[in-house]
Amino acid sequence: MNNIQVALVGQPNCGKSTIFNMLTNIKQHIANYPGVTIDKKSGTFNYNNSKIEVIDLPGTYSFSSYSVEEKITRDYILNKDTDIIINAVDASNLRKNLYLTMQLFDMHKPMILTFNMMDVAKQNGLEFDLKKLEKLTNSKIIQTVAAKKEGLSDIKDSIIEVKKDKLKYISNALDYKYLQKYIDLVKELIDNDSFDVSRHYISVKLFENDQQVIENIKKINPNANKILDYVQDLKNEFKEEFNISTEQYIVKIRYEKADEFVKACTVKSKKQNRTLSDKVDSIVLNKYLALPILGLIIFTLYQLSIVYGYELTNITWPILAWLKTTVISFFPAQNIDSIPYLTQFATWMMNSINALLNYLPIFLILFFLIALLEDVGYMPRMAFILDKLFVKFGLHGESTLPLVLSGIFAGGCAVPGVMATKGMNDKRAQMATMLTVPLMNCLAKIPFFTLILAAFFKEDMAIMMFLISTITIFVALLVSKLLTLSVLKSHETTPFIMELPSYHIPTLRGLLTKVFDRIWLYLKKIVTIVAAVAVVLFVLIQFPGISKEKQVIFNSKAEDMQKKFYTSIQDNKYYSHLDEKTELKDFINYYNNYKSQRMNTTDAKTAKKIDLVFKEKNELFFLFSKPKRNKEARKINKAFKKLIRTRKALFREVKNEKVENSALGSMGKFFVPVTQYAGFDWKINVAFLSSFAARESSVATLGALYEGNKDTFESNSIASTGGYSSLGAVAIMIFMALTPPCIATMIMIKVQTNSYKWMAFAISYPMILGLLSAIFIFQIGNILNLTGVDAMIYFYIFVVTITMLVSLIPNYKKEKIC
Amino acid sequence: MLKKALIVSALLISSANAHTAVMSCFDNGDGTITCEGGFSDGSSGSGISMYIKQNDRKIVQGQMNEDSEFTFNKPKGKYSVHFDAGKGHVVSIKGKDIVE
Repeated sequence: MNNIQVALVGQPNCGKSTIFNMLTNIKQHIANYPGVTIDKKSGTFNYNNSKIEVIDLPGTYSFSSYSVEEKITRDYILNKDTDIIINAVDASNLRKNLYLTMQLFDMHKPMILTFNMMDVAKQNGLEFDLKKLEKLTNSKIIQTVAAKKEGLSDIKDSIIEVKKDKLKYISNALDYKYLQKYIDLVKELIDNDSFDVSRHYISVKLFENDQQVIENIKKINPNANKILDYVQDLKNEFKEEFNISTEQYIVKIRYEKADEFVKACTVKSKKQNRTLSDKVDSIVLNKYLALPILGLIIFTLYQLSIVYGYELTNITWPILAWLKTTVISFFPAQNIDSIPYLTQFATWMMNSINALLNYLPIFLILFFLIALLEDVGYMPRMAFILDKLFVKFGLHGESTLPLVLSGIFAGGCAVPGVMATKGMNDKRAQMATMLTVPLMNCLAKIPFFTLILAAFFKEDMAIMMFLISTITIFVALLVSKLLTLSVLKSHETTPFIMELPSYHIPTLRGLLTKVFDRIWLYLKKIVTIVAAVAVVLFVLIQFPGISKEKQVIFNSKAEDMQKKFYTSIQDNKYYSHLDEKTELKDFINYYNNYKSQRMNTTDAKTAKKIDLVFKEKNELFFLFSKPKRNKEARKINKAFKKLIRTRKALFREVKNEKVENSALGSMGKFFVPVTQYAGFDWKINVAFLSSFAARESSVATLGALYEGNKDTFESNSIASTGGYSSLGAVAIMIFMALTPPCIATMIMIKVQTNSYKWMAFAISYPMILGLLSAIFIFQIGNILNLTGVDAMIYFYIFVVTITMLVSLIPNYKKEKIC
Repeated sequence: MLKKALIVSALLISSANAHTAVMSCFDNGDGTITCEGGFSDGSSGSGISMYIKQNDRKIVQGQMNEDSEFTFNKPKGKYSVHFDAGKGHVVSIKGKDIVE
């Protein structure tokens, strides 16, 4: 059997992936390119006794700037194992698409050109004479409508045909007119044996000042410096004579050639005045309607995924809760006065993993809608509308989607937000977006804000909620601008050249493939790593554990609790059934088990079934759990519930003691010298730290905090007694709003940047920023004797003003070789 | 060195994971109902506002206690229990779904 390697290349939105899906059907394999995190999609199929492997290369507009995608694509094409290139072009947008084709011609590889989206082209009144173009270019050309699976066998036949007679289909290199003789001069100097690629290609690339090719030459050719100097001389000469740099001239010629080809092969162009896409765009991109429509689409996206997805989690949660209960039931039973480590660990792991799995319904809807917007072609338009605003802050039109997903208003999630930055072409804006996306209002922060607002700002709740959830947008813009002017200064930036592809109707298959690809990525990357981190965290919080003295105290408390229980039931007629410790232990586990099973039940039938099962297990225990009218049993039930409450309180105490003693506890104290200026004492630090670590959400910690200070709060002398004033509450909220995102987001940033350095930066800068802001608010607020609401309003005005001011500073532009 | 390592690892550990609100209720069989609420990541719902509605009127109002539980006397007729942790984090259960 014959093996054929095919590389599929094309510009974004040309339907390349659809062709890939059509060719390979379900036999696809996704891996990473070595060293980078771009998905490498490959698939195989058998045809005419040949095994054909297709690689779907990343979509790219050209090979001139050095994004990772472009580098990968280029390397892959030039690789000598690649037999055939299939270049997919959008026939309805030919001139722009052929620009890439012109560069492919220079590479001298056997090529098949597929004119895709022929249906749209026809609708637009275009018809082509492909035979003529085949003669001109020397490549095989076919027509396809991949979305409707038209042209599938043509592609397959062509692959076999081209493979048979490879030389025949090596495309003609471009003729660079006035520059050609210079190119030829350099060509002579290049020793062909040391390269797999053509001398023409290398020569052209040298005139384009292509760093990669220059590096290569330096490595391989001993006369490299001589050649490079010669090229430089020629370049200078050319510029003097023709008044244009060779780089610019090459681009110009490629466009001219593309035009030539379009002209040559277009037989009919009954230019309809307006295509359907134009008509839609006249509304969607209308000066006045664009923003309201965009707003409506974002709102719908948000409503459908976050709001309805959240409601779906109410249905899926019982399944996860059941999973948790089931898994834990395999671990050792609880003791009266403690829970075995192994069981604690199992609970901890299940909680960590369930928390992530619980988000799946939201992500399913979200990813589907995004894929829909992408495939329809609205996404580039969304970027186009907002680009003007974003560019002022170092962001890009393409930042819109990541920011929206992360919760530009009330509740999103930074994980899909960071994931969505993947496709961005402007590397500097991509980094700026990735680093600011976590400042948005992630869903997990909402209950926390609500709780603290209800406690301190009952009357001004609405306004405070508005302020806190919109201030983050301004902070994000501000931070992005500052990062762009500093650490991201040297990152490459590209001007906004985004084409607006024709709208097309997506296929369900294409959409679902995208959705499952992304869900799979989420599961694979996030859940596995989070599970690993959860193990480390568990250890960090459990050890060194409780001191011996404290343990003695806790033991005596546990004894007390049991003594009280036995005293209160000693005259009971059922006393003998619980008087042994093992019986009590069994009953505790029985009761907890029964309760958690019943808690997950909402229909009467299942509830009855559970009751029956438990009644069968132990009739007396069942009677104690559900005593109904039995007076003696009721007494037991009452005493037992008291015991359970005391036990829970004791466990809480033990846990707090453990956290305080743990590595985290020490750190809480360690940070006090700094955090005291923001009004955070060591306990709040521990609360924050354990909220980072223990995944005991901030709500719980702050809930406890609020409970603990209830007296001072009610006695209305909070500020003077050093309890938490409304000003302190604002400091805490601002800190929380700006603090680093969850571990999942951090991991995602690592995955996207492929750098621990950037991940560390993404964690540390928000912490510093949050702390400085909290200190600023707390200190100034105290000096001016401001209430929380005043402080919030002034801080808001302050941030908005600064943001507006920095937008006036021009972005530093890295000089680009073009 | 150890301290440094600890700080680094603590920085790696970042804030509360994505979670959603959850609540389940249990008929104690003695005329009272206990609801337990919290978040899907296992975190406590202590301090979260709770209320019971009947005919669109709040008839009982309170908070989750330290054990993240809320116990109330079972009202006669139709009612619903609400765990309110803020916009988008409200869980409601109908009285008829809390079975004895």
